[in-house]
Amino acid sequence: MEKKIVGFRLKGEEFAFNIMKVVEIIRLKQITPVPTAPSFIEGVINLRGKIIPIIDLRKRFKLHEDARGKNVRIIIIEMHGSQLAGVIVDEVTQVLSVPEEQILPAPPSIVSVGGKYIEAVVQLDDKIVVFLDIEKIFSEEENSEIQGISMMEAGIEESPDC
Amino acid sequence: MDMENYREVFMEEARENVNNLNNSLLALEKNLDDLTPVNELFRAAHTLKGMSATMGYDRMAGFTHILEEVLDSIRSGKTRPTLEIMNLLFKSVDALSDFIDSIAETNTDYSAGAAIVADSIKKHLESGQDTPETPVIKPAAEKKEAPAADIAGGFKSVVDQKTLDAAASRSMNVFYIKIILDDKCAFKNVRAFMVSRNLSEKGEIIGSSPSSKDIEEGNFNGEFEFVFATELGAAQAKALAAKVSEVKEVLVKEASGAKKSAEPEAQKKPDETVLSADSAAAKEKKHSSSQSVRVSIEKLDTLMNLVGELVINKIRFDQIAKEKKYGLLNDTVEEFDRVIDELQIEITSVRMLPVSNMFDRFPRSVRDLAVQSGKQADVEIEGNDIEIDRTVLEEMSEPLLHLIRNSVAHGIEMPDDRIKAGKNPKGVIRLSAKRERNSVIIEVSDDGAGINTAAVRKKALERKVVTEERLRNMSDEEVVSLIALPGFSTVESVNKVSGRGVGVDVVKTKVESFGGIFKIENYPGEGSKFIMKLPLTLAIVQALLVKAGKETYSIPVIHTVETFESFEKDYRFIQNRKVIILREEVIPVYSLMELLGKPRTESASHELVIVDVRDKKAAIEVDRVIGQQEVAIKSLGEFLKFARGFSGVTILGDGSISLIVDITALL
Repeated sequence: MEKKIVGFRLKGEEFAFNIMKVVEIIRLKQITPVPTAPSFIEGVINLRGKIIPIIDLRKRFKLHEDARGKNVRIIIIEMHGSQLAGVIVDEVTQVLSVPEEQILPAPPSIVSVGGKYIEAVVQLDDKIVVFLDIEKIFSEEENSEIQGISMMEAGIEESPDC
Repeated sequence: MDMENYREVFMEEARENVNNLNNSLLALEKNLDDLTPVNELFRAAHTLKGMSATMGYDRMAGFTHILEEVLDSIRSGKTRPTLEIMNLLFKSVDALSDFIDSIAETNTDYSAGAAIVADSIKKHLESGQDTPETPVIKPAAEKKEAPAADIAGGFKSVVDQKTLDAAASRSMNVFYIKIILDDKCAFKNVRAFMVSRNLSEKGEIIGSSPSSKDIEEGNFNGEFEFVFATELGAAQAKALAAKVSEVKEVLVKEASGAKKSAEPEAQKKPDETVLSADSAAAKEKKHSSSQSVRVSIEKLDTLMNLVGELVINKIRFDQIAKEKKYGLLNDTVEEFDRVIDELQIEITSVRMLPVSNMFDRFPRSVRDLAVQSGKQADVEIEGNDIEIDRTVLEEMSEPLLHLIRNSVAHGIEMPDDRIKAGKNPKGVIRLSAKRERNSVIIEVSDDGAGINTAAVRKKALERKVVTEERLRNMSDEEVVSLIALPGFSTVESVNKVSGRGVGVDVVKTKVESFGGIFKIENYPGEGSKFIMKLPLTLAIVQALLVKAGKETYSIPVIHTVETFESFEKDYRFIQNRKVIILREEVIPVYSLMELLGKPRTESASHELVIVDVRDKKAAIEVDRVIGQQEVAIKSLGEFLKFARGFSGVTILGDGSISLIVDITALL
């Protein structure tokens, strides 16, 4: 059995998503910020009338952010249910067919960019591609960031003049 | 084709009839000497009996049969509608509601209370006329072991003399109708059902062979028989049955012993006119309902979304046409505009329902609540035909009921107190709906004692919803608004009428979740009024487009009052708060950028949008006001639902996104 994956690059490192989750790949377009959203959510875009939240993996992985190059793309992904989301990456590299035996579970001790969002690693010739669990990237924050938001709200409620 | 479809139709109609029963009972209760509403009661009970029998809900049919008997006895003057009887009748209607609920949930007709009510009614009927000391019904002591099974009793027989006589006394013809289905007919039960429905529209099925259950399940050999009471002649009745496809033959025979024409002419006449007027109205209703199609809400939502996108494209198209100045194109665009506007109005209206759908159930609730608490209250309804989005309607039903409970529990005084205060001992609760531009305003008011602000102050301190110091500085008007704070309730103990753990805050939260406005007006000694301003539809709103920083935001106009330009020198500071003085009113100023957690744009001048939130004005400072426009609301989606301060987004004419600001959440 082979699995198809979409490879992409982020700060020089190689990552991949399961191709079954990828809906399409688009060029960077105007992103409307949502000021009160969790910080790693860049904002929303209008993709043919659909409103799609966009996350910046560099912010998510707390990488240093520098100017975006011309190869920057947004990978549109379908998450649980039919909710779409976009992920900004530095460059989309290739679509690969990987024999399933080459996909190895992430060793628990792995110390790498994206740490806890790693689903598996793929051994390819001389390099290692990190296979990301996209749903986790989006959902994990709900515990920390969302609590932060509701605390903010509570703080505002207390202010008596509002 | 399955029975499921018919079950839905059945339940819809059954609920309608139960509603009619309730309303007619209320009318009768108002004046026990005027028996006019009894005709309507009888008709509704009849219809229910016929319907439930056809569907094979024999327990329900049996129960309605008993209800019908007592109604008949009232109509003929044998039984006087005492208060006790009225209570029994109200309980019967509740039992019918239980039947329908149970059918909806489990497809079996079951009502825990029906047996007891039926017993009481039977005793009443047996003990003859006017026995005042009938046994008191104890609803608490409902016996589980006796569900309504036994009361179905003799209904399964084809027809008994009593039923024939009853029909005859209403000067109806009774026919035996034998229907023979086509040999190849695959859905015998369905065809039978259709025949029975056709007949029920013009009269009443009072018996069948084989039993309705067997007919429903198709346990018959291609032919079945109905006993049909109607005002129609034999030929017309035959035609009704023959209309159904795959019916091979219809045989009609007049039932002997029916139709006694010996009654004095003078007595028969008025009754007849009433009946025929009723059935004419019923016919009209049936006719109009057959012209409609059931559409799932999902489909409507999809259509609504598509129209929303069409509207966006229309605006875009407008812009392009204006810029390019092609004369011919402009004409086309105008036409295009008109069609889309009409389409939008039509689609929106499909989602709308008259508020009567919600209001109609309240008179009964008020009656019950008043009886429980020893008070007297009438309900006045105004604007029953005003329409509102069905989602809003459905979601507002519970909150409104809560307000009404409050009005009965806390607003309306005990009859003695009302007399002392020089009022009519009977209180009035007014429900009204009116349309105002793109909103519907719903008001619930009462002519009771009003909100006791001293009690509210005391309770607010106890519940710690406000500090002592702040409370001291609050006007009575502000104190009234405290009852809408979470965790506040003036009920001394958990009381049966209100105080079910939800408070006015729930109502307010609900209204605001629709982008609406909730207000309370208090008139000490004269009553209180709860005002809810709700958007007509949830999908498209009028919004003010404003620029703040690089982005364009939309502020729904339901909250906006006015806009004007402001300069730094116009601002004042009171206790370190930036304010602006407008026509002698001090209004706090908030920068939209700062509300959104961003630095304020420095500039010599800004524009202020005055908004009205929770009865207080605030000035929202933006960089520029672009203009007013209707926007189609789109959801921010699952991931951003926790983003505070936005109720959704919309796509502007140039394809860019504008976030819709939820002012209530930001201030």
